[in-house]
Amino acid sequence: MHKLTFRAAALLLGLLVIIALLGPLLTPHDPFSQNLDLRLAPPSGKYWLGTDELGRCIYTRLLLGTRYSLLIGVVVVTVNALIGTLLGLFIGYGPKGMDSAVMGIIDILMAFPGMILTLAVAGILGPGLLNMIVALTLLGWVNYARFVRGMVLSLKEEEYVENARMLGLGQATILFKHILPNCLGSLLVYASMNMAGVILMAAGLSFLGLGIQEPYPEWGAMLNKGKNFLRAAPHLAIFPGLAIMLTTLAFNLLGDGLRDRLQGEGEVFLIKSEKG
Amino acid sequence: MSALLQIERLSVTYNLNGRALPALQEVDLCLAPGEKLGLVGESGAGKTTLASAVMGLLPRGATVKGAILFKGQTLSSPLLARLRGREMVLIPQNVYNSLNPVFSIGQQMEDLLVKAQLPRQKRQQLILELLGKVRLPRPQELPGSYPHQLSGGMKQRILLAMGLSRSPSLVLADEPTKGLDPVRRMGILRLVKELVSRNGQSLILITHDLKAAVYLCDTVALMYRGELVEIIPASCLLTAGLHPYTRALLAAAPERGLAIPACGEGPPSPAAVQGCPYSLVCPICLPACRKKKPPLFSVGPGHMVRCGKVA
Repeated sequence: MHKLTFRAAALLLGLLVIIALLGPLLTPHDPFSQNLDLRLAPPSGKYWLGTDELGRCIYTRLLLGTRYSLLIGVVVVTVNALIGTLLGLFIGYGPKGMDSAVMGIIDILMAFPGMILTLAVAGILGPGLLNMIVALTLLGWVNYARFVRGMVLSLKEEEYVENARMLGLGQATILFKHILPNCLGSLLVYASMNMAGVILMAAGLSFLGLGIQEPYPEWGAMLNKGKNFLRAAPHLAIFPGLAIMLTTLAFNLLGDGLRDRLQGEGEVFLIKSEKG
Repeated sequence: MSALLQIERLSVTYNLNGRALPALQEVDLCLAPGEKLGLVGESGAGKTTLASAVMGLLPRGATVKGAILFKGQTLSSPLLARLRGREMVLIPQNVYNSLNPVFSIGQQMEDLLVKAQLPRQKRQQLILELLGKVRLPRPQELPGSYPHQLSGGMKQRILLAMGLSRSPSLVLADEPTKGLDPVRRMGILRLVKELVSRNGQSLILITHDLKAAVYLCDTVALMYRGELVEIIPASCLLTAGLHPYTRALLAAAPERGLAIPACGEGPPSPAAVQGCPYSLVCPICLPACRKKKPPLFSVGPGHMVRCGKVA
């Protein structure tokens, strides 16, 4: 059963990646061209998922929107994971004074409501793809740093690390060749679950008008537009909502599947995505 | 002949939640080049602490007093960083967790040889040579395998090969046969003896096994509660041990009837005892022993005892 969900998630994500890469080639329509005669048309043979309030093909726009969602997810998670992992490695392995100082700052940052700070920063910087990425990375690395630091604290007491020290290996070799690779499995699980959270958060920001702007099709923004026509044309909101849901579900299932594979079944492993 | 390793009045105190916990008290030891010394004592006697102190790998918060000299130089952190792995190595006691699970044996051994600045092909040849030296079957198949694919005995041999890869002059082996069955145990002991003797390396063997110490070592030092109680030539240990603790350990050997020695849990801290730490359970204790700690005094060539009665 576990294997099946993992495979389904991997298949779905593979499909999303292909869509993101090939997007416009998979549709005969243009995502930006308007056809006011066909406003709010329901799904049909020609427009599989119907058209929006300006008569644009929703299917085509969803395909293009995949690019934005995945791009934001990948960039934000990569940047957060890089910053957080490096910092976590150093504070976990370095002198205790540095650990206490940095952890103090991290605790203060964590006490700050992340959503409000992200909203505030996105509001100050103004809407746009780059600004949204900046807003999402501002606090996103904090959880990674905490997570990796915790792992380093336990891994550095492992006997193979002790043995490496006794054999005279340098600190950098021990940190990057013995401790880091042993963190990677759990980090991958965490990152895949965090990816779902980031995509959801990005959609949320766009829904509030702080993300990617019209005419570019972002799922959150499409959902926002669609909510105005819920009675007359529910398909405007349903399909972008489904796209967001399926993508986050796929990343969460992938995370679960990876966890089972990397940690062995039956082992309790407490990782939960903060946002996903 | 000048000493390879000289330990002078070494005391180590651990800090346990603000409470001082003495682990070693004024230990004096001398190891000549090529000499093999066995450190014997029950768990908590300070054997591993002594080895960690020599390697400079005591946990944070441990207070060290006294001096450790290696080839006449006082050991300091920068010097230790240079010596570890090259001049002195410690073969760990837990073979099962001492190899990194995510790298193959070959990669882990290569890490050690990278600094030797040999071409890759030469390094791999050297790895095969080392694996052959510790008598692992089919050494050419091993570099690609991962720790979980190997048995405990194989891992111990690989750890030995890794430890000896850069021909250190001092090898510390912390219970190298822990967790192995008697057949493998004998094989490892024989191998250690052969390799160390062939290269003229000095050895400090930490063990619970008196017979292993007698088999492998020239001298045996017995420890009790962080102190040396007897230093004796290995050949005399089984017959001429003088300290009551040594005798109690000998009597506890299975073939002598498994007489459990009266070690007791003792006082909460050895420092709480004024006199000899063994006086609380000693069957031949004199009133003077409880008041003043007897010194280590010589009773014969290479034989020293810390006992008021024997004095």
